[in-house]
Amino acid sequence: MNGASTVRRQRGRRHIRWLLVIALVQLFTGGVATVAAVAATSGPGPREVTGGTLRWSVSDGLADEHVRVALSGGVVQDGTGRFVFSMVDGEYDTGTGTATAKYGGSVTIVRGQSSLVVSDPEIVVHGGESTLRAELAFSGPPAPSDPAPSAGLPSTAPPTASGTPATEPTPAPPGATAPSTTAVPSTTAPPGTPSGAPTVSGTPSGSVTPPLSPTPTPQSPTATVSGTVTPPPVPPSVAGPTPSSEPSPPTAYPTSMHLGTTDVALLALQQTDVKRQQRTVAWTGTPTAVSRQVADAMSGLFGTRAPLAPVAFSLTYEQDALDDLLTVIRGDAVTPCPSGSGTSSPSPSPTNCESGSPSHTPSSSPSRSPSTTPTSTNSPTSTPTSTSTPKRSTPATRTVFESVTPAGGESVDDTLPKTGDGYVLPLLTVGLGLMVGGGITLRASRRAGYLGDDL
Amino acid sequence: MYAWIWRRLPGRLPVRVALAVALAAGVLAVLWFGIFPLVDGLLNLEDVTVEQPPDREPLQYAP
Amino acid sequence: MTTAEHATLAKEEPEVWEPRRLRVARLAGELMLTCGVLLVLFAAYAVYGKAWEMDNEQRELGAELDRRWASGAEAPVSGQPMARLHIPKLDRRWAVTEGVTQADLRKGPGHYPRTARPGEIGNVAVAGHRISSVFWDLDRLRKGDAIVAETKTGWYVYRVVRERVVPPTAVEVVAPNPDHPDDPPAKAMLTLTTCNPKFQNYQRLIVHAELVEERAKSEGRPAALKKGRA
Repeated sequence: MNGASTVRRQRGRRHIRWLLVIALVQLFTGGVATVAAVAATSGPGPREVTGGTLRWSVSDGLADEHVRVALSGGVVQDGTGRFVFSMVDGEYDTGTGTATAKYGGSVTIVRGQSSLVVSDPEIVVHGGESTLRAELAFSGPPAPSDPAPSAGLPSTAPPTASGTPATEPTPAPPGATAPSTTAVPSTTAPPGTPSGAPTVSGTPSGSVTPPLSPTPTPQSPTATVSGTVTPPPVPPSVAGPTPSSEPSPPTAYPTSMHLGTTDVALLALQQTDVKRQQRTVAWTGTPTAVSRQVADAMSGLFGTRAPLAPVAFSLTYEQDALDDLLTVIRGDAVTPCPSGSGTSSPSPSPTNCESGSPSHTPSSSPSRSPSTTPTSTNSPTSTPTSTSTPKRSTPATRTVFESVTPAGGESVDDTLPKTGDGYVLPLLTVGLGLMVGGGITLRASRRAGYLGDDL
Repeated sequence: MYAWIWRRLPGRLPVRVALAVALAAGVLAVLWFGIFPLVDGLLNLEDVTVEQPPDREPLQYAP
Repeated sequence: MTTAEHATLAKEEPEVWEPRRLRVARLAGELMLTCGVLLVLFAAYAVYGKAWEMDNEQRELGAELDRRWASGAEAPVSGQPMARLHIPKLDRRWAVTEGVTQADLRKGPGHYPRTARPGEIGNVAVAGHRISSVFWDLDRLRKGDAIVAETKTGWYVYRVVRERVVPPTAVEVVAPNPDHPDDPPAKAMLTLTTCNPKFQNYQRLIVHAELVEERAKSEGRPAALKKGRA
């Protein structure tokens, strides 16, 4: 009787043991599977952004009274002089951690005989770092030695326009706009087609003729300048500055160039402001680095290297999408691009993850604007001090970002990144010590155990 | 602890050895692919690099 | 109690008469041993596991870089590959990620944001871990050794001009003009930074190189790369 029950009990125990083993194995495989699943999690596809605005004033130099501004394509100016662009297209993707916001409209800034057309700004955010891009066309002043015909200029500030902030585009009287409006049509050309881009005429005589399109074109890509010339209220005495009265820009600056859609600046994003009622999220982006081409254009425009103003932009999000959007813009979800993402986005605005900027490279190629001085295309060679490169066989075009702070050394923070694990050696030492100590303790306890057994 | 686990492993010696090895491998895998990367991430949290955006006014161009 | 039952008990609890303090001592020993093994394993992970992960990341990054180049994207995006770096002497090449956060450096070398891009006047600064799959052998580089940066459009051959060891706070080594940090850049430089000494991180090993040759992709690989496969 006893023997039978023992056998039964033993069988039962064995059963329990096997169950225990199975449970343990399941626990481990489950853990591994969970880890794998978490690692393989990929975010959802791209989502649309339904609206938003971008406020930007290009430069603090705009407060200069010599500067006149023309708006078109729905751009308005707010009370502080910043331009407000409205969103035309935008999307974000938690899978790639990228958000793209495209805004429409264009602004022409005229100062003396220089002008800069900024159209269709766009912000690409990836992992807390973001880039401001815009279509740029610049028409520069004549060379300082050249006696520039400035006859047309004093009349360019019509009294009707002064003093009233233009909030709606109205057809401007001929001659009211920038001398550089010849540069504007070139911005309409798709940057990929080399033939279709009329080039900016760089000579002063060519740039003074304004073939104005009198119809205000509402859609922004046609950056025809048809908006009202808006003040900075211009006293008639200073409305037509002669070239000599201005700080003459260095001759190294380009006289004219059409940059196409180009990277303007790298932005450091700050100040997330969530307005839940309106479903908008707003940021301020401070330029931390500026494209050298843009810097050159600004130098040509303002004579000095005027600072680039911060950019404020906002996005309107769909219901329940706030967290995703915030994750993307704050850069919490920086994941490598899924390999199949190249086909997953039907939107015309590709995220940087996949194809980035199709128009970027060709648009800044030197062949686009023959009248451009070499400075505008290949900045390394344009730098007067560039002497150290023996072979320069590649006229490859690049957007050159220059560090905003001069020396770089003080601006970048604190330390070089940690590229080694300082804990490896200490860990190894402590670990080996523990192993030896544990072994000795075990051995001692075991010997003592035998001793106790003998007792 | 180890003796306790060993005693609870079923079967005969080869089976026990195989199970013990499997257990050890499982623990190792969880550590290597799950715990260690996590711990490593935590250890590197506090380090400061040049990546941090500068907070002083970065608006001036290089002269 | 039958002998069979007694045998079972004896088999299951062979140390049932072990004194309590000895049992505690045994437990402590086992714990120490376990912790020691864990620490050593973690150290091994930091050396081998991360290198292995980085190799995997590099494979993906390389493919991603080719894809980006094929699709025409050129602007550097934080966290994405921006160029390829070859060091023929070490027989190595990497896809360089834009950014130097720990997450970026986990994938391989990282390009300091807001420093120059290959070929530009300024300083192309690249950081990398001092582990076997990245900058482990950086101290083997000597003056004149080639470091080749490959972008979508061209090859840029730099020659090592200077090696030095600095404290981690010496951020001027990544300034546009590392020799005279307060001056504007005059040369096209490339700077590699990694930790020094090996397994430690209280110093940084810096390698400065200068651009000596620049050629378009269509002109083929530069001579500096033709010997090795890297």
